[in-house]
This record gives sequence, structure tokens and C-alpha cells, in this order.
Amino acid sequence: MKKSIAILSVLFVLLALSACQRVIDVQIPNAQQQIVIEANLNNQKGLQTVNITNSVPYSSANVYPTVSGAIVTITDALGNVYKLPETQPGVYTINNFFGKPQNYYALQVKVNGQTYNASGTMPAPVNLDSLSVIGQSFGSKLVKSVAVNFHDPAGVANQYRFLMYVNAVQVQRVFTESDRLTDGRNVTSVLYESDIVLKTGDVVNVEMQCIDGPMYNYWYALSSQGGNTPADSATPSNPTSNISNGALGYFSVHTTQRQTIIIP
Amino acid sequence: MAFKQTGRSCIRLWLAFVCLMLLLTNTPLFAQSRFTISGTVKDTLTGETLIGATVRITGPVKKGATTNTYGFYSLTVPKGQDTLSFSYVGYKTIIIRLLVTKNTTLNIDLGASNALNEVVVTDKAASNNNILEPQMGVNKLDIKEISNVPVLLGEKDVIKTIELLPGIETTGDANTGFYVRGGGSDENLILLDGAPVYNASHLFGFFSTFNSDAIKDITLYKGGMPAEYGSRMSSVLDIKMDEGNNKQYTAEGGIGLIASRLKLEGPIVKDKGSFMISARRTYADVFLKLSSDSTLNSASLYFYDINFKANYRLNDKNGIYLSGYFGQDDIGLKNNFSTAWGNTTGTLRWNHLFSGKLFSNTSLIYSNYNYTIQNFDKNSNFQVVSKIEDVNLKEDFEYYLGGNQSLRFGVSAVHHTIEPGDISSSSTSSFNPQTIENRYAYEFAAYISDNWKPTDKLNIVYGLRFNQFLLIGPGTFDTYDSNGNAITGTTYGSGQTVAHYFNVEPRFSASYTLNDQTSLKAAYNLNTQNIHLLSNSTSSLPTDLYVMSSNNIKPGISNQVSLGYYRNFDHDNFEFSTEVYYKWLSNEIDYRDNAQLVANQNVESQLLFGVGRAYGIEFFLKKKYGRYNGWIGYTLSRTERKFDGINNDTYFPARQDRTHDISFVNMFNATKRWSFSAVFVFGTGNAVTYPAGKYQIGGITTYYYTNRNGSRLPDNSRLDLGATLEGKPHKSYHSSWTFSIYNAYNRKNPYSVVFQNTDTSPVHTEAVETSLFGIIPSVTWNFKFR
Repeated sequence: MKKSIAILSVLFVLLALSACQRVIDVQIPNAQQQIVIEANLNNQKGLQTVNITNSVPYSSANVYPTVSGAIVTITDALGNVYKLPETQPGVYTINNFFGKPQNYYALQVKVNGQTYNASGTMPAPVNLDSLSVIGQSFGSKLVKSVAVNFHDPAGVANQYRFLMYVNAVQVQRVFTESDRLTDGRNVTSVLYESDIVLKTGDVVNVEMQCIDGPMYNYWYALSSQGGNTPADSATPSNPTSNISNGALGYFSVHTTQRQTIIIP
Repeated sequence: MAFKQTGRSCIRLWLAFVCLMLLLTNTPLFAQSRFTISGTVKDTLTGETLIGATVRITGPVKKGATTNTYGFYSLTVPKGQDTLSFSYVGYKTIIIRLLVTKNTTLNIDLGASNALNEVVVTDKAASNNNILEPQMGVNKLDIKEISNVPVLLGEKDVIKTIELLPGIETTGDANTGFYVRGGGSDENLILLDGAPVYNASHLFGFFSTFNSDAIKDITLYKGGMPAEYGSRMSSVLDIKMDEGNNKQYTAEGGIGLIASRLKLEGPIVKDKGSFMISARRTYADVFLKLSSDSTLNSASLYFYDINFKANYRLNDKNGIYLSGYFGQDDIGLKNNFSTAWGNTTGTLRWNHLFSGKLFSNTSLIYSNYNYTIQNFDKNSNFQVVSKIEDVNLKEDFEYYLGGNQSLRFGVSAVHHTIEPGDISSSSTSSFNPQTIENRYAYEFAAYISDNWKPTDKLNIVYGLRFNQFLLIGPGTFDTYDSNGNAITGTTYGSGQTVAHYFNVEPRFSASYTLNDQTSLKAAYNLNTQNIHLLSNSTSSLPTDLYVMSSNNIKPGISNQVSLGYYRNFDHDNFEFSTEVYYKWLSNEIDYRDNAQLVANQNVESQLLFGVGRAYGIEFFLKKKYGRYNGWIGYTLSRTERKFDGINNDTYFPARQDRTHDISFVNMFNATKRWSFSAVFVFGTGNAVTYPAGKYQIGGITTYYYTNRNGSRLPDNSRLDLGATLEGKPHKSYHSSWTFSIYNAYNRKNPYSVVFQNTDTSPVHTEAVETSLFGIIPSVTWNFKFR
């Protein structure tokens, strides 16, 4: 449904006969540095990572200072505490580790005299059945998009996040879905990004994550943060983090599954 | 069931009010030494009634009146010889001497003078109504003025023209959405022949639903609204359709770059009744059909609208009017998706004269706005249907008491239906079929207002409006806590009261005349609103979602005080006015972060409620006559909102907060055939939220926001030019060419600003501004046959 609105807004801009874009100077007071914690725990045995960085002012280069010296732990429902040592500056990892669906996990980060807590329960996995390519002709141009196909389990709330990589380069858009309108259906969801053009032979890899409700809200807020086009929300705001004490970022406990398709 | 109890007692109160009024209308109130002169003022040529024509008595008693919406006037004078003058801007004044010995009906036909620029104003009283009338915060537009103002693609538009008045700002470049004195764009009551028009825009707001061919009179109230108007917080835009020529048949129309229009009018029975039908359609899709591309030539992209009105005078005391509007937008790609939306309104009205003093109006009004969105894809198909519908029965009275008073009073009952969204889909679709419960409500209103002239200098209108809103079942109604979580859910049966709100709305405005050229005015009004528009986008999208006041949503309330200084110069050739206003708004609606408004049964859980304040000063200088005429308007204002949990619970600038707003409208009749116009506008950029910092999430640059609406879009300005060439005079045929240049100096006005990574190394952030309309020339050919 969002896609239809997206198409509407594309038309809308086309309608504006001479729509034009230019880079402008803006005066923005610089915000204070904020701590950013990006923590992921999935159900695949392997490396689980927590990245800790600082935000930078608007006018700075997109180089984000790492935060070292933190004590990072994950605690499971049984009270087992796992330490994530710093393996690179600002990167805290644990190897050969995984989370179990329907289990509860808590994250704690202690750094610079502050403590940040977060928790989440890993949803049950939903199988990513297939990827497909959908062609839509706009004039003489055939626009190809990749769609994910899966069966949403009926009667339970499910939320999903998709990450798309084209020839191993991540697509710079947040794709997230909930089953509010699709509960129990065979769902085909198009991962539509107007900025990229898929060509024959492109290798597209998609990761499907089953995420919990708060994480869905987080990604949904990020996905509608884009700007001021008619389809976006009028006023951008910070997504609600599930981490305490004012940290930016998230602690996502999710299942993961990947598939690859070559564009025909 | 406390709700039910009070609900019933309020209905009782309302019924009592109706009875009181009916009683009043039957009371004989004639004093035999005084007699009433009443009648209708019409245009000689077309037989159409003239609204706001001035009737003056000069003689031993000096007195004045203006004609109402139906051209009716009433004056009560002592027995004796009187001189009456009838005048109307652009018409020749008629003076009649009359010996009054009984109640007299005097219908007058006024002849138009040749053109607006040739009017010699002989009768001062004809044009200083703006000084004498107590009403302030009001703008009336002459339809002739609108035809001279250059606009986008040559489609003259009433709403874009009112946006050139002080206190009124557009929601965006070339957009027909508007804000009045800091109110939201859904806080304007837009009436077409008394029927509310819910979505007054075509094609994402670039054109309004009002075809100016079909319009006779436009009045906009920004403050001190008369008590007969209610149900919106910020303004009333009252648009009356053309009634049609009851003397002869005429056809007129125009062919423009994007649309053509045709209007037919004529007598049903000569001098007794007339009809008018006016239609227009855009034809972008006709050009698409010429394309060899199969997607493009099967695409639909158009809108059309039809206005219709007929009236018939049964006799001197009774007249019937029937009018309607139907409009539709259609945008779609074959086998892909289609979107259609539009308004339908209808008004059936009966004018009845009980006597020369008591005028009544019975109206049955219908309004419907609906949209359908369809996706035809096998795996993601769906159809969403949504509508809002009003049925309204209304009774209005105007009672000319004689002496120095006239009363207006009436009652109204509205049945509202909102169908928020009905989703259907095929079995292969990703989407579930779903019906979101309809919502129903009754809205009853009663009002009374008195226009009283205690002295020659003081003129007061004061009144009360009572509004009773009842949200009724059937349905399940959840109540939400402050975090938007449902606490209770109650199921109500059909007709059971779920929530009710009773509001008393005082209205007051007064003028104190210092001399014939100068007056001071003051006004206070309280307005409430029970139908709220939810939209978290900045443009006018067809997917408007309406909600009613409910167990969660309280009625919006606005309080406004305003003061004004009015001064005319140069024998009323120049009008100057300045008004200051302060407005308090409560129960304003905003959305939670991540609000899901589309197809959400629990949409009320997504809302936040707050307060607002708006204040400012407006200056308006207008030259009314002569070869050169036009106006300049300037507004200095501030508009702020406050919501719990946003911006640390402090006031922040509303999106429409516009510090400076200037409009400069110039019209010049150069020769008998050529006239030129130029419009310049300037406004402070909208308040927007820009990122203050950034960080990286999942490999994507993410922005960090601090102050809500703490930044500004760049200022916007624009110059539009127009020229009209009138065809050579011909007995039964007239044509003209209108040329216009929109945005003559090709100013890039901001439509949106988005932030993205630069291509540089290291990567930085840049702000990219999108602007919509550059310089756009257009030409329209207009014709008229009679």
C-alpha cells in the first residue's frame, strides 16, 4: 500500500512540469555529541556484534568516532552473562554465539560512567520462501524490482526487516513490514528503491529478519524519515530507541535468513 | 449511562429552542405608524439577485440596509415621504421617491455601468460599507477581480486569489490549501451554496474544485464569524453559485492549455426562473492517448467538474433553488493502479417571506467526499474505498425588527457518516480484506444574533451559537491512555450515544464610526470543530482521513479577539484597514512518531492533543476604482503549537508560521481592449525540522533531530504577469484572449528540502532543495454568445 502512495508521489513530482533540484546552504546549529549503540543478536551461530560510536554534527564529514573501553554484556533468560570484548576500536563481539527464538535477552553497556540497558525477545522465524523479479513498464522503460515472497503465520503479530545488497553493495534504504494488513497471507512485498536501476546479470542478495514490535517501530520511523516528499511524514523525528538512558541506536534480537537472485 | 442522560436532555433543550423560534415567527410585531419597505434588488440584464447592494433612505430619517444573500432587503420607516437610493459597485445608482402609507414591496433592477474602470462614484454611501458595517475580518471578492489575476496555467481560481489577501497563506507553491490566521488547513469551513466541501482541491491541490465561471459571490470570514456559521475553528469561506440569466440564453466558455470549460445559462420561465450549468475538464490524458507507448496511452490523468443551479420564483413570497456540484479526479496506469476521488454536493432551498420583515430559508443539504484506490497486481492487489457524508436540514430566519435592530436565528441538524476505509482484495493478494467500522454522528446547532445600532456611530452584532455533537453507535469504541494503549473497549448498539459535546459559542463584533471615512472595530468569537482531518503529509493527497470528536478526541476550540482600524481616502477610492488578532486554539491534533494512519482501526491511538496560539497584525490597502486598481496586503504574524512530549513540552513554530507575508496585486486597464495585471508575493519560508547531527545505523546515514520546526525553508517570492485582449465589440458574440506568465523571473521556490550524502571524499551531507514550478507561460481563449 505504501508503494502505491510512492508511485503517486512520483507522478506528483512528474506533474510539476519543471520540477528542479539544487543544493542549498542551510544554517543549522550543531547538536551535542550522542552515543550510538548498534547491537544485533541473531539465531545463526557465528559472530554477534555490538558497535558503539558517537554522532557527529551535521556539518562534519561522515566519519563517526568509535567509543572504546566499554563493558558490553548479553544476559539470557536463565541469567547467564556473556561478555563481548572489544575486538576492534568500538566493535564488541562474541563468536560462535546465537540467540534462540522466543527467548529473552538483555544487553548492558557500561562506558564513561554511564550504563545503558536494553532487552528484547527473539520472534519465531518465518521462512523466506523465494525472491522474485517484478517488471513494471514506465513508458518504454521496464523497471525491475526484487520482491520477497513468504507466508505470514496467521493469528500472531509479525514484523520483518529486509536488507538488500546489489552486487554486494547495500541499498541505502530501510525496508520494513508488519502484518497489520497481511496477517496469514502469502505476502509478496516489493523492495522498491527509486534510486537504483537493476540490470540483467545483477546479483541481488536479500536478508530477511523477523523482528519484534519495538524494532519494527524503530525501522518504520527511520524509513519514513527521508524528507519532505508527499509520501513522507510531515515532520521527521528521532525513532524511539529501545535502549535506556538516552542512547541512540537499538538492540535487535532477530532471526535471519538470506537468499540470492540474479536479475534475468 | 451519564452520557445518554445528558445527551437526551440536550436534545430536549434544542427542541425547546426550535419551539421558541417558531413561536417568535408567528408573533405579530407591527406598529401601525411605521411601515416596512422590502423587496429584491436584481441585475437588469441577467435578472440575477445582487448580494450586498446598498439601500439608503435620505430624508427626514436617514437609514441604510444591504441586501442579503438572496438580494432581499427590508427597512422600516415612519409614514411619510422618503427618498430611497439603490446602489451597487459597478452599477448605476437608482433614486426613487416614495410616499409610504402602507407596507410596500419595492423590487429594483440595477443596470451595470459599462465597466468597472468607468464607474464614477457619485453616491458616497455606496462604497463606505466597509467603514459602517460592524463585521471585521471579512473579505469579499468580486468575481471580476478574480478574472484579472494571473494564475498557474491560466486557470483562474477563487482560492488562489483569496490567498493574496492578508492573514491567508497558501500551504505550498501554487497550492489551493490555505491557512487562515494560523489555523490548520482543515479548520476552514468551505461552503458551496451552504454545502460543506471537504476536499476543495483537484490534482494534489494545484487547482481548486471551484470553477470560477459558476461562481457569483465569495466571502471569507477570518474572525468575528456571524453566528449562523459554525463547525470549523478558523475561517468560513462562503461561496455562492451563479443563478443563471433569467432574461436570455447565453453560452460562454474557454479553451486553455490544460482545461476547457463551458457554461450555459438562461431562463426556465422568463423573469421567473433560470438555470446555469457549467462544466470543465482537463485534457492531459488526451495528449497521453496520442503517445505510441502502450503504458502512457492507456494512463488516465484528468479531472472534471460540473456545477448546476436552477431557481424558480413561485410568487413574490416564495422561491426555490436547487444547486449541485459533482467533481472527480482520476489518475491511474492501466493494469497497475487507479486512484479516483471527488466531491458531490447538493442543496435544495426554499426562500419564504412571511412578511416584509421576516425572511426565511429552509435548506436540505448533502455533501459527500470519497476516494477509491485500486492496485491490480496479482500478488498485491487491493481496493480501498473511503468516504465522508453529511446530510443537513437547516432553517434560517432573518427578522428585520425595524428601528435599529435585525435578528438572525435558526436551527440546523446534520447527520455525519464516515467510512474510514473498506479494503477488499483477491485471494492471491498479500492483503487481507478488512472493513474499518463506520462512524456516525448527529450535530445539532441553534443560533441567534442581533444587529443593533444603539447610536448613529455604534453598530453591534452579537449572538450565540449552541452546538451539540453526538457520536453514536453501532460500533466498538476503545479508550486509549496517554501512551496510545487501549484501556477499555465498549461496544455500543445502533443509535446509542458514545460521546457527546455541548458548546456555547459567543460571537461579537462592533464598529464605532468616527466619521464617514473612519471607524474602529472590535470582535470576539469562539468556534468549535468536531470533524478533524488527519493527514501526515504536507500536500493535498486524495487519501484524506476524517475522524469525529469521540471518547478520545475532544472538540477543537478556538477563541479569537481582534481589533481593527478602518479608513477610506479619496472619496472612498482607497480603502485602508489594519487588524490585530490573537487566537487561542485547544485540542489541536498531531501524530505520534511512527503514526500509522492508513487503514487503521485504532487510528485514534496514534494521535496527540495540544494547544496553539496565533497572533499578528494585518495591513490592507486597496484602490477600488479607476484605470489602475489593486491592493497590497502585509501580514506580520506568529503561529505556535505545544504538545506534551514534543519539543520538551514547549511552544514551537507551527509549519505555517510565517513571519512576513506580502501580496501586491496590480490591475491596469491600458486601453479599451488591453488590460494588464501583475501579482507579486513574498513570504517567509515555512518552519521545518532540519537535522542537527548524524550517525550511522545499519550502514545508512541517519539524522538526529533536536528542535521541532527549528529551521526555515528559504523565503519564497514570485511575480506573475497577465494580459487580456478583449475582442472587438459584437452584438451577440464576445471573445477575449488571456495571456499569463507564472513565476516571471523563474524563482526557485522551495517545495521540499532533503538531506543526502555528497559524492565527495570524505562524504559530507548536503541539503537538496526541490522546487516545482519555474516560469510557465500560458494562453486561454474565452468566448461568450448571447
